[in-house]
Amino acid sequence: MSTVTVPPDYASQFHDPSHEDHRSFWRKYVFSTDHKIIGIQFLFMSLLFLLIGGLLAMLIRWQLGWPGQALPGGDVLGEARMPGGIMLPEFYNSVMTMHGTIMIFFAVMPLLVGVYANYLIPLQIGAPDMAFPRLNMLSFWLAVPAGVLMVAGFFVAGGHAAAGWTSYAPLSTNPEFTGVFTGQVLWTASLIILGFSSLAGAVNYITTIVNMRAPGMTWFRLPLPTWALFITSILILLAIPVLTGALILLLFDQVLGTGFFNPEYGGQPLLWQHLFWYFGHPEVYILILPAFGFVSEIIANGSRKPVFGYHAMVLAITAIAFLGWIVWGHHMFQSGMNPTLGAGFMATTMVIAVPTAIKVFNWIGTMWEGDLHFHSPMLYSIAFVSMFVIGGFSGIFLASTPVDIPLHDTYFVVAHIHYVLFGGSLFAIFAAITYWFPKMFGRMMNERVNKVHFFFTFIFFNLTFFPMHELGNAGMMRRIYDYTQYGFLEGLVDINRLISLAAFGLFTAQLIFAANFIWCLFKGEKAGNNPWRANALEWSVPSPPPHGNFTLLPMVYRGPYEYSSPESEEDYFPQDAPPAEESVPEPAPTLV
Amino acid sequence: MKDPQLLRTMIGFAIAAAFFGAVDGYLLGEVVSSPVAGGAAGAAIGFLIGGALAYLAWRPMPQDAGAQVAHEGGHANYMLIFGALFLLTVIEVGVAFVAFSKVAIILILVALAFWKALLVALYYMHLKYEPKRLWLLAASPIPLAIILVTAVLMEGWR
Amino acid sequence: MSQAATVAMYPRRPMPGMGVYNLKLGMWVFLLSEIMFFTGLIGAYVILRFAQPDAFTEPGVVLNVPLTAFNTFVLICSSVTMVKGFAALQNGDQRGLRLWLLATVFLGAFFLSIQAIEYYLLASHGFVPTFAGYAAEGGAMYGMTFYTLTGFHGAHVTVGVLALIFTSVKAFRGGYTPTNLGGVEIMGLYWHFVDLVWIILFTIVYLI
Repeated sequence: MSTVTVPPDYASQFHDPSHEDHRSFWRKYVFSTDHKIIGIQFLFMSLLFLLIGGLLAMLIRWQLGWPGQALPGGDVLGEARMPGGIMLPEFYNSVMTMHGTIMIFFAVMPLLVGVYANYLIPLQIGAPDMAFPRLNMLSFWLAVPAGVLMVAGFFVAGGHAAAGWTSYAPLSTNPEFTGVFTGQVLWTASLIILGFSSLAGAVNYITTIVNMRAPGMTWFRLPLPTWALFITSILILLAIPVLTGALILLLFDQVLGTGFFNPEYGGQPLLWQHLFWYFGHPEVYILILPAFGFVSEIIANGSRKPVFGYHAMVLAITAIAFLGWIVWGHHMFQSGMNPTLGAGFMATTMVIAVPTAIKVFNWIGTMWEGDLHFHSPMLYSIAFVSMFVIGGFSGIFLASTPVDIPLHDTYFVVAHIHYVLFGGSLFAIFAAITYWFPKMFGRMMNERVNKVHFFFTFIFFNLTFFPMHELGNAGMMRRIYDYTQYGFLEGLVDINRLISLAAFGLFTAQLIFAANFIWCLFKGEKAGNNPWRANALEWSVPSPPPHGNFTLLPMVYRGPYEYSSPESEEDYFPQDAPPAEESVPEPAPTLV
Repeated sequence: MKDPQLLRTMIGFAIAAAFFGAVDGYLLGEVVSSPVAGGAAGAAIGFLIGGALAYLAWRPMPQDAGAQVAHEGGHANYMLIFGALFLLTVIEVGVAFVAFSKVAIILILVALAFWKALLVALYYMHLKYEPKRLWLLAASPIPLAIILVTAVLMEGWR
Repeated sequence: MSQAATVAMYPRRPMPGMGVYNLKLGMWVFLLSEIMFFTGLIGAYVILRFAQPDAFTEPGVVLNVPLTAFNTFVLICSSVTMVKGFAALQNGDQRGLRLWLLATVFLGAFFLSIQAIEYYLLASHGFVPTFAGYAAEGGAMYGMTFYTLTGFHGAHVTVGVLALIFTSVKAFRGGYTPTNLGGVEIMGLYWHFVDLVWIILFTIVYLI
C-alpha cells in the first residue's frame, strides 16, 4: 500500500467540521469568509434593494397613470420632490434613473451572481470553500458602501442622479442639464466601488471553478448553474474594467474640469456611449446567463429527465458570451455612429438569437415526455422560458436597424427589457430562491403560498408589460415625465392607467413572497438533505451545510443529470453515489 | 572586511545606482541649465543609496542557512531578453523621429511595442514555460481589445 | 476490494485544473481585467485623438522624450531585478532575493519620482489636465489624456511599490522559501505587467 503526499496547496481531504468552529458571532455571521454566509448576506442585501427598486417603479407608474396629479400621501416626500403630492419632473428623472440603476446593479446582478455564485460554486464542484475566502469577504463588504453611497444620493441637495441608468454624457457631466450635481457624483462613485466588488468576486469564482473541482468532476460533469456562472464571471472580469474606466473619465469630467465627453472642449459624447455599451451589452448577458443555468437545473429536476443536449447548452452559453462582445452598437443605432459599424452590429445581433434559440428548444426537449412535477421552482422556470422567448422576439425586432429607428427609446424597448429582465431574470431568481432555500436555511418554503405568488405575479406581470409594446408602437417615448404634452399621445392615458393598476397589483403580489420568505426562515418545515431529489453535490450534504461543506472530498462518478437512469433504483442518481457494482474500484488519481 | 562578496556586491550596486543617478541627474539638470552638476549629484546620491541597499540585503540573516535548491524549471536568459528590450526601445525612439509617414510610424511603433510586451509576457512572466491552457487564458482579452480599438478607430476615421 | 478499503488506499485530490497553483491563477485572472481596464482608456485616447488631431503635438514638442525613454529603461531594469530576485528564491538564495527585491523597490520608486518631477515640470509650463489654465502647445485634450493615462499607470506602479515593500519586509523576515514562493511570484507577475503596460503607453503617448 503506497502513501501519497498531499501537496500543501490542496485542500485537506479529510475535514472534521466539529473541531473548528470557535469563531465569534462577528466572524461567523458578519465578517465571515464562509462562502455560504457571504451568499446569504448578498441575498438579504439584494432583496432589500429589490424592494426599493420596486417602490421606485410604483412612483413611476403613478406619474404615468395619473400625470401631474397628486399622489395621496405623496407630500411626505417633501417640497423638493413632490410638493402637495404632485411629482416634480426633476424628481421623476431621479426616480426612473434610480429604478434602473438599483434594479440592475444592486438587485438582479447581486441576486444572480453575488448570491448564487458564492453559494453554489464550491458546493456544486465539491470544494470546501472559495479559492480566496478573504477576498470573497472583501467583495461583499465593498458592495455595502457602494449601496450606501447609491442610496445617499436621495438625501443630498439636488436629489439623486437623474441622467438615466445609462448616464449619457454630457447630460450626466453638466449639472445645468439635469439640475443635479452631488447625486450624479455619488452615483458614479458608487458604481466604481461596486465594480471592484464584482471584480473581486469574478477572480474568485474563476479560480475556484478551474482549480478546485473535486476528483472526477470533469468540465462536462459540471452542473449548468456552475457553467453559466463560470462564463458569467469571465464576462464580469473583462467587461467591468471598461465600465470602471469610463466611470472614472466621467467622474473626472464631473469634478475635475476635464472634458472627455464634453463637445464644448473637444470631447466626444459618442465615446461615452461606445465605452458604456461595450460594457453594457456583456452586462445584460451577465444578467441572464446565470438564469439560464438555474432554469436548466430546475427543469431537469422537475421533469425527472436529463437536460436535453447538455453539451449544446454549454456551447450555447459560451457562444452567447462570445457573441455578446460584438453586438454593443445595437444600443446606438440612433446615435449618429458610423453606419457601416451599425450594419455590422445588426448582423451580429441577429446571429446571437441562434444559440439562445438552441437553449429554448433544449428546455422544451428536456420537458418533453418527462415525468413532470410542477413544484414552484418548476413553475417559475417554465414561465421563465416563455416570458424570455417573448422578450427575445421583441429583441429581434429591435435588432433590425430600420425597425429600431422608430422604436428606439420608446416603450417598446421598455417592454423588451422588462420581459427579459423580469419575465426572464427575476422569474429565474424566484425559481432559484425557492429551489435552494431549503439548502440555505434548512427549511422549506410553503409551496402553496409560492404557487399563489407565482400565479398572481405571472398574471400581473403580463398585464403590466405586454401593453407597453403597443405604447411603443404608438410612439410613446421612454423616460418621459409628461407624455400628455404631445397631442398624439394624449389618448394613451387609459392604457397607461391600466398598466399602472396592474403594476400596483404586481408589487402587492411580491409581498406574498416576502412574507413567505421571512416566515419560513423561522417557521418553515424542516428540510432534509435532498428535498427535491436532485443529483448535484450540494444535495449530498446537510441543509444547511456545515463550515467546510464536505467531511470527505467527494468523488464524482457521473454527470449531474442522471434522472430516471436505468442504473439507479430511484429516479435520480447523485453525482457522488458510488457505482451500483461494488467491484468497480475508485479510479487511481492521474494527472489528466 | 570579513566578507569579500559583500564588498563586491556593494560596489557593484553602488556603481549601477550611480549610473542611473548620473543619467537622470544630467537629463534633469538640463532643465535648469546645469546638466553636468546634475549628473554629478545624481551619481553621488546613487552611489550612496546603491551601496547602502546592497549592504542591507547582503547582511547575513538566519534564513540564509536554509537549503540551496537548484531549480529545475526552464527559463530563458533574462539578460538576453533585457538586451533585446533595450535595443527595441532605442529603435522605437529612433523611428519616432525619422521622417516616415505618420501611418508608417504608427504601425511600426505599435508593432515594436507589442513585440516588447510579448517578450516580457513570455519570458519575465514565464508564460512560455507554463501550461498551454494558461496561454489561452492570458490571450483571451486580446481579441476583445482589438474589437474595441477597431470599432473606435472606425468611428474616428469617418 | 471494498469501497472503504479503496478510499483508504487512494487519497483524494482535486482535479488538476489549470496546472498552476491558486494564487498564481488568481493573479493572472486579475491581470486580464487590468488589460481590459487599460484597453478602455487607450480606446478613449484613440477616439479623442482622432477627433481632435490638432490638439496633439509632434513627439517631443511638449513632452520630454529623452527623460521618459530613460525612465522606460529604468522600469525595464526593475523587471530584470524582479525576475532575478524570484530566480534567486527558487534556488534558495535568500541573500539574492533580498538584494534584488530591494533593487526593484528602489528602481520602482525611482521611476515614480522621475515621473512626479516630470509632471511638475510640465505643469509649470502650462501643460495641465484641465481646461482652466492650459497654456502649452496643442490643446487641453492633450493634457487631459496624458495625465489620465500616465496617471493611472503611475497609480498602479505606486500600488506595486507598496506591495514590493511589503514583500521585501516579509523576505527580510525569512517568510519565503523555495517551497513557499507564491507571494514573490505573484508580486513579480504584477510588476512585469505594470512594466508591460508602460511599454505600450510610452509608445502611444510619447512617441506617436
